[in-house]
Amino acid sequence: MPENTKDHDIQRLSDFKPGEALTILGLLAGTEDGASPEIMRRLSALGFVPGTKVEILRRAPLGDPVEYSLRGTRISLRRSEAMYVQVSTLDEGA
Amino acid sequence: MCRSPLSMKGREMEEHQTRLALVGSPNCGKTTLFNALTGLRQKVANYPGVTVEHTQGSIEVEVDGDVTNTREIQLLDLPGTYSLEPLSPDEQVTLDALEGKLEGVDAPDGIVIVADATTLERSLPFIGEVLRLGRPSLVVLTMIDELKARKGAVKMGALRRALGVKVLGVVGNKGLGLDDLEHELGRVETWKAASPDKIPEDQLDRFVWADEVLSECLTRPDESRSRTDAIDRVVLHPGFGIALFLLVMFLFFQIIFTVAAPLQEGLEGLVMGLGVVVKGMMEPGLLRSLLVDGLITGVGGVVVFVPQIALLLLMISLLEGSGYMARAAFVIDRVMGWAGLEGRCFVALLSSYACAIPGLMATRSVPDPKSRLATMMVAPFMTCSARLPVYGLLISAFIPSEHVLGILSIQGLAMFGLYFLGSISALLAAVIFKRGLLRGRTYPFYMELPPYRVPSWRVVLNFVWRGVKGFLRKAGTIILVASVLLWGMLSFPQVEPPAEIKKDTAAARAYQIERSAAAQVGKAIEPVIEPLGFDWRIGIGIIASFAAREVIVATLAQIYSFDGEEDDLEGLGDRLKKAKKDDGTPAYTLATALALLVFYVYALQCVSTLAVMKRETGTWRWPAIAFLYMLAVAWIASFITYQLTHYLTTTQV
Repeated sequence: MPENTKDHDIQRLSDFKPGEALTILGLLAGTEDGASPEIMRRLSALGFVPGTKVEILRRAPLGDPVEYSLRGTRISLRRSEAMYVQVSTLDEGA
Repeated sequence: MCRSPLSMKGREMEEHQTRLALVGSPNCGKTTLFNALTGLRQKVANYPGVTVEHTQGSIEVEVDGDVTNTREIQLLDLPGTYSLEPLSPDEQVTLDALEGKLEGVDAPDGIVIVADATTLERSLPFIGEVLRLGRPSLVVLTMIDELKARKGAVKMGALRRALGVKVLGVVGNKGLGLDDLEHELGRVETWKAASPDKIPEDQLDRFVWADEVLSECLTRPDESRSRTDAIDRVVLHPGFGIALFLLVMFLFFQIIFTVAAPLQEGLEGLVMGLGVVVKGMMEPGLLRSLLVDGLITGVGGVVVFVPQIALLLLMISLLEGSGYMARAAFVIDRVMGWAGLEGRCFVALLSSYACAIPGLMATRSVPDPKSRLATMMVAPFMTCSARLPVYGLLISAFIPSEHVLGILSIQGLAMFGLYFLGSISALLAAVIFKRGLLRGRTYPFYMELPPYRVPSWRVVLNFVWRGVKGFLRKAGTIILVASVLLWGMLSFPQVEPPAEIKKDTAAARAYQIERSAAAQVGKAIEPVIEPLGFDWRIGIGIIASFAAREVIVATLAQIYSFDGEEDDLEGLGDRLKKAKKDDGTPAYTLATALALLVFYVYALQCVSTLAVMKRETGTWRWPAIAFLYMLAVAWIASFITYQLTHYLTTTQV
């Protein structure tokens, strides 16, 4: 379950372990530690958009980045980007 | 070995030619399709970001199925992009091309939107973004065979109705569906433009739109990729993933010495045989010396390393085609991040193993300008194939051809060590650049990991052949010219050898070389290189190597040329080992050989690399910095290597 989260109400993609399946709620923007607009748009273009199911596949051997499965693709992100992705453990799309 | 830049200038045509552009996400198969349609052989591989430039090719298509009535169409291959808001220089090329802002390339009359059928859920929103441009378009879905294999399906008709443009399915590498595609390309006038108001402008809304469309048209493929996952469980294993990679690399260099070296020796025998034949057919004199000493010995001495170069390229091509490159970036990204760089920079560095020039080009896919520059500034440290002849010669001459533990050749180990030294140095130099001169904020890293694919043998052979052809072309141009110039400088001014050695051709030639113009140059720089254990002969080679690194092999081959007697056909390595100084001690010791190897690991002796660096950075400043700092590093590292080895090998313990 979430660790290192400043705001206890927010669960970030970077807080979860390989094997977990989550639903993306959105990107954390506009806040002090939020993503810049260009990172936001690129993460969205890669499929990190609300409602998308994401599965955490594995960490790289050195611990970072992490490989995710979403929208039929496999994408790796560093922790520094994954922390902008707000997720929910609930299967909201079902 | 260096390849010329990939882009081709479009032919100037008076009449207006129909222009079509291929646009799509990275690694969706645009270039495979482009090659299949145009018959060209642009580089393809299985990782995102292979194409970093635009390429034009023409294609002849039938008009309305009439064999006698054909028209020519210009096809434009473009770098892949995830959106029309570019982050990196290669993505900018794509946007510029669509807007007609690319120099010498008119805006396309129609857009062929290419998408990997297995990743439509991610790429349909981008297709929508391109369709919103309101230009005549055609959607081509690639990798239909993979989609089927994973039990997925697309309802083409339904998708066509939803998008408002034609949709075709193809398998680019097998040529399936290409006839239909060519037919469509011939009637671009009938292509429709999607009505932009049907597709949401906002990116997030476009994903909602895409999901709705796909819920009607797509049977989602099996999510599990059993083969890819099985391979990744091993290759990306936290414990032995990296160890496995190092082991594979290590074995590869073993192979170079067990497989390529005998082939090379065979070629060397042929070259020397040719020298003997030519020598026998001609009267002694300058022309014979030019042919035998300058051309056959000089250029031939370099060409014999073709087997090593072909093997190296084969290995790189297999890694690139299988999908391993993206994994290598994934594995090493943490280290790169510590250096302020990212995994994509590592892909560029790996490309530099073939040649620094494609490596420099590959940095175009790096979004952060400073990371890109830092990568360019260190890429020449990666051992390129031009160093292989130098390494091959010196290692086979001075490193014992013994085996440890029965199977591991020490020579292979030495080769691996040199590659490792270059790579580690590139990483360390990148850290220093990124933390000093090129400090800046960290850019986001994202990298798509494609499924493993069996590399197409045609693509692999094409890559190896192009590389070998490039090497041979270089041997026939730069190396040839340098070798002839060198021969001239070694043969003039002509001196009459003393009577007692006149009979001995080898001794007479040595006497001549010692008093030649080249020797004057070599002796002039000798004080600078003496602390590295190099004499004036190596000095000549180092200077000549600034034309191309391989020229040092040609230089040494000429200076220690065989005397043409058939009973004395020793390889160049053996001749180097036997070379004596005037006082009778060996001219080349292990310390000298190691120092020379280290010098070639570091020195940036490649005019083409400097020119491409200038073109990519827009100023001579960066190539000048790279040249000077790499020369300084080369000197210092060689100095340490020589002094240390000399001390260890001459001091009794």
